[in-house]
Amino acid sequence: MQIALLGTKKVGKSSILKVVFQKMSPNETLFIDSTSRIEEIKVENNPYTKYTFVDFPGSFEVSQINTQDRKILSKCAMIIYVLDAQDQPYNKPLEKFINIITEVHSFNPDCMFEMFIHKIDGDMFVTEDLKLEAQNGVSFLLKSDIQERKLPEPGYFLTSIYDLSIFEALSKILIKVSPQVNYIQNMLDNLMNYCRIDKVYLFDVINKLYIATDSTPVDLISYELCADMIDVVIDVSCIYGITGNDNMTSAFDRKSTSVIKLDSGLTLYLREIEHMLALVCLVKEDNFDRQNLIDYNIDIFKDGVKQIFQAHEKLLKSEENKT
Amino acid sequence: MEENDSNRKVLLMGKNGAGKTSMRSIIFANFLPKDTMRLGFTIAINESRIRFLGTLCLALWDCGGQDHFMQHYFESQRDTLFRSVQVLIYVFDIKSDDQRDMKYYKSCVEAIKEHSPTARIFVLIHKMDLIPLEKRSETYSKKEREVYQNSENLSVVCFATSIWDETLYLAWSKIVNYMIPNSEMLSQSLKKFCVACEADEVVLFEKSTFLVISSYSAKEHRDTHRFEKISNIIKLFKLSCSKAAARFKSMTVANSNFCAFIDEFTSSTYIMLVSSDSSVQPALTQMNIGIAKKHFEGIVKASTVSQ
Repeated sequence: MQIALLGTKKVGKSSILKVVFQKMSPNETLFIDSTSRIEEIKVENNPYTKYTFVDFPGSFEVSQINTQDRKILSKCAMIIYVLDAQDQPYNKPLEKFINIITEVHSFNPDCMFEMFIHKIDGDMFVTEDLKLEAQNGVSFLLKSDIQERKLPEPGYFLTSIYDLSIFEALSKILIKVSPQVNYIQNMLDNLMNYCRIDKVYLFDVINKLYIATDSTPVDLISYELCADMIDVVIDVSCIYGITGNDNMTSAFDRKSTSVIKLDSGLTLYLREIEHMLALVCLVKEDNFDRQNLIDYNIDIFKDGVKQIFQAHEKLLKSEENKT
Repeated sequence: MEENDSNRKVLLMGKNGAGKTSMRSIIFANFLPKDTMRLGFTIAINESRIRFLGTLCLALWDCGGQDHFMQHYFESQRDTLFRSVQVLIYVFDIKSDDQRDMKYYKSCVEAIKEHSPTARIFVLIHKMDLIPLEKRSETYSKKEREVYQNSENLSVVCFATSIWDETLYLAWSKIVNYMIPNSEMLSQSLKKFCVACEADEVVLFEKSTFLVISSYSAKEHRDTHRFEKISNIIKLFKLSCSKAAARFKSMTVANSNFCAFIDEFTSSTYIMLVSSDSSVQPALTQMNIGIAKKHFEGIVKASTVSQ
């Protein structure tokens, strides 16, 4: 599964990839060099999800597209266009985006397009209203061109590397390109109902993106709490849970589990599902009294997830063999 | 001395910008390390009363380090400031070359020798994160030697610290523990508890600061800095919970090699119990913790009273 990041220079494409996938602190990204050639970042932390992010240099112009670029873009399931929200006016970068959609859609009609309205932090965007204003402004500017040229409508995300919004956005777009996740979402809805769980996420433990969640809306506060819980579990397991010279990936093993009780009556429950994959549930303390029941249902969910991904693998392999 | 016996006077001194207020804010006022960037300089002396372990009261005198304040401290305010001090904490910014720093330190030591000769001196060699990793040990040792040379033969304890890692928690745990009159009683009781629960180790943390009060380890562990790391980990998680308008009550973390319980214990402490024995039932351990709570309430209180 290939996803390309495009956008003008210094807009923050490489910083996004470094912060989310290479554990760079947001402050350090001020010092990284400009991307001069196409770079690929492969993400394969667990046996179920494999993605490659293709970071294009800011100097890339779709009007001067060469055969190699074309080849890469024709294999992409999605293109994320990153816009620097603090660099106004938006006309030139948006014009470039329209041209990219036009060109790529002609040779890769299945490709999806998403826009990250990025750097939506700092003094310019202190309130939610100001952020939404930026999003409305952008979609308005693009509307006429998209309708005229009959192009696919892009999705919009307000993002920043200084909080979890970029993680949430990437989680959502990865779900968009993975149709098999719909089945997992259904299973999570069932799990929620049978076990009276308030919210559940299937997390990639290494980058803290969620692979899947139930169909109730995601609120950043519960997402952040769960991500912090994973940090605690990994850190404590690295101290007490490894023998000899093992590293982090063995600290999180098949029997990894954690329960955190908050005074608000909320309980956080974490269970390992697969290598580097964790299920994190938010349950009311009263509903957590039948932990055995929840565990039993989670085990069934675990098997179900395995089957879905294995079936998906088979499907992909057979499609590859056909072509 | 006229000062109330349970009011322990702690002087926090050092040149301006050394990091005194930042440290104090992180340990006692629930600041995140990145929040300290918005602190301004301290004007004159900021005295805060800190309740520790329920009945222990610390009077923390955060003395602004600007030059004109420092002059006053050694001249007009000398006796009020340096009298009845139990602990002097002097903070050096490792990146500062200012010669006056060591002169001020020496003046502090002299004043303490004169007015509070029984006081203990702790020196924090701070902002170690700004020194490249490979140079840290050497730079620290050099500064430590210089401190000893200027300490007028008084016994001084030095620590390397940074607000960005667990070293801050180690230093402050040691400082605070020095002020608990009867911590030996606590560690003996913890030992009995640890053995009764068949645990690997038991650690007692103060409730709001999560500084380590006491511990007992039945088994050796390769990481000698693990307690302060846990302090740091839990403190950061506590702050994260407060964003969700909640506080954490208890936590268990386990994998196939271990099980750790962190639970509210007495009214002013949390306890952590770690076990690698999979035959010990978690429910039983939690029950044991529950039973021990009442017993320890009395022990913790007694440990804060001088004998």
